[in-house]
Amino acid sequence: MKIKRLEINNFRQYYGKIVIDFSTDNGRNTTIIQGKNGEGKSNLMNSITWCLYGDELFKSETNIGRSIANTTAVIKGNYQGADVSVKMYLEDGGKEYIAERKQHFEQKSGGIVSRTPTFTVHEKDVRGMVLVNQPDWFVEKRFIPKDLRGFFFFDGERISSYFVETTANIKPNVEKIAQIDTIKGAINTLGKIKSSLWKDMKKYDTSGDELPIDPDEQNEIIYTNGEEIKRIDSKIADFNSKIEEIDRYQSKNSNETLKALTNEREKLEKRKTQLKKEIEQTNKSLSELIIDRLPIILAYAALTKTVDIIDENTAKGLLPPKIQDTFVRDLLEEGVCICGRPLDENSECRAKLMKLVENVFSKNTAEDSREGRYTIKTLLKKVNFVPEYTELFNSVTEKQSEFDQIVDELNGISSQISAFDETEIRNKEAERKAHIESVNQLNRRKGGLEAEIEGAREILAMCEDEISKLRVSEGKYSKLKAQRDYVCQLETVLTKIRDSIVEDVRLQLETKTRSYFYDMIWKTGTFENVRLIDEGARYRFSVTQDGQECLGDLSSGEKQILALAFSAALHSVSGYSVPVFIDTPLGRISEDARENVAASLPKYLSETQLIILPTDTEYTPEIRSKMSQFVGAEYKIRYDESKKMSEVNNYD
Amino acid sequence: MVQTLSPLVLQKIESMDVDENLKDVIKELLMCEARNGNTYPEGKLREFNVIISKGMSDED
Repeated sequence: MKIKRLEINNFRQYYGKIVIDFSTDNGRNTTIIQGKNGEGKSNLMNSITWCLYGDELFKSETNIGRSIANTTAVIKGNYQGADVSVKMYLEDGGKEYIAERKQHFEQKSGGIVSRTPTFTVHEKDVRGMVLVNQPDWFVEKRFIPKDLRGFFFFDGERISSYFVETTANIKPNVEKIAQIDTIKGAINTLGKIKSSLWKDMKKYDTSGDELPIDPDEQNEIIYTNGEEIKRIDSKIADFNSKIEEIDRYQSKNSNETLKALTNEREKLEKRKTQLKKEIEQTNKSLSELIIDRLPIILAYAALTKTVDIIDENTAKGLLPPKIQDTFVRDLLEEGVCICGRPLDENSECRAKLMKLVENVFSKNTAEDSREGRYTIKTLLKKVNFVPEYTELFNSVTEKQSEFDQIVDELNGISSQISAFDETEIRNKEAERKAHIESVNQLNRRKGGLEAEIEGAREILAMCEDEISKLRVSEGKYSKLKAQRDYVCQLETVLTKIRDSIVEDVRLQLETKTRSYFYDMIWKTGTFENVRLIDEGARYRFSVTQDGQECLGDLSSGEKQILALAFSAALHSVSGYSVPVFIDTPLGRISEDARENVAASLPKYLSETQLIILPTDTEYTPEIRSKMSQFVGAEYKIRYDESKKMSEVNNYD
Repeated sequence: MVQTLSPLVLQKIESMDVDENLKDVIKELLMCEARNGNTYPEGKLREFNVIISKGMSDED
């Protein structure tokens, strides 16, 4: 989407009709609108956001409470009043659109009053200009969504606070721009369809079996708790950042005792974290050992008795039996017993011998007993697991004791720092304690929520089993099931795509931001690394110098360059093709770096229509010359003090 | 633009080891999600169901 032309009518200091034609040339993607401070650069950007979204993004203090109408126009219109309008001519892939917001203002005895503004979008087709239904929706879906516009309309003067103010929002906004939120939305929609299909399946299930629980309720628990955990993670990350900030402050303090205590605390914290992991692991091993041995302990008496019986029968010579089965079979075949009696077909003796062959010899009793005895004896040996248990138990006890000692030492350090004479140190320490307590409380809450999710997942797994067990009736049920399986397949693939993109986007953003930052920054080789760290709920920027974090110590110009580098990277990664506006882009950047930035920025945003609004001190002949190869249109804003109005003229 | 899929998303879909029909269905679902968002859930669900049914019949 490109802006071809902007027509401003009676908006703030722009009296009458002002027309600006923007460069839409791909080779010269940049339009320059130069103006001194206060001449109307920000209000020009405001006219565009007012047209598209109905509000002004960069409202200066002098504008607050004042009508957007040009007072001269309203007064000259006497009681007829005047129209304020902003009209944008847009083009997108060969299609043309006109977006226009208009509002009527009148002078009344009590001051200037206005009517409700109107907003329309027309699309050009073979019939001429046709009104588009839902113009606000058009802006959201075809231009820039309102909540992302901060990434497309920049105020260079405020851009240095970008990282401080927007850190928490960078990740969600990156997800929106990279369409990760679209993938998540699609997964969510598929989840709803799956749930609805399951409900329909129940209707057509003829088995009469009812599921003991409703999977929707369990899904709701998983979703709600998951969202709550995300919020908790974000809060924990915030508190941890604050704790780190306090630690950095204290470690930099000139007080040597404080420095030493802070360093000692850092070491102890690391050991504490390590011990916690080891204790958890050893406790897990202990539980597994008990779970493995418990059935044997419970069956100990029965198993011992069985071995005794086998041993007793073996001692009596019953195992193996005294008589070989072949001997008895020969007697039956010959038809004469060992005592000489005939073994007729119906004789009592023959029946007894037959029973002996069937019940004793055919079952390999001796072999089975030997094997059984061996297995039981092996199991019984395991009952004596005391040494193994003792070793693990002692290990946990020792580690726990060291852990408790470290906790005491940490408390001691905290108490010592809390007793320092300097109020600021004491206050910081009190803040730190409060943050730690908050983190602990949040972790407890998180643990509870995770346990609930785990429980719900187990129930759902049981449900899935139940679903698969339901007898499938012919026709609709099987069709619905096939549909549900297909939806599950789509959901799985989309989930894989989402996970892969999340990491890719972060990596690409990090690499491009670093590369652009190094290109534009004047202190070559000063900064070792620029990283975008994923902290779960949010991204955090990190810039290091001499192995130390230095983002907080960057000058405002350096921060501005980092913000510009990040924004250019964001546009490049997202693939969005919408205009970018930058007001006062070089204001805070030192003179020796300006030429670098001026020459680099249009290059990095080469796929984008770029509209730059520099001041006269920024847009020097040197900068102009550096940018000339990218510039397709150039204007100057001129403010007439006597008429109190601004006009936009061609640059030369 | 918002109603089309970003090059990154398209590249990821193409790199998935699934059949072409499923990839097309996924692209259509994502376009539908991008177009509708949360503005018109009933309409979006209907569109999703149509895309899924079409995808299943193409598979057959």
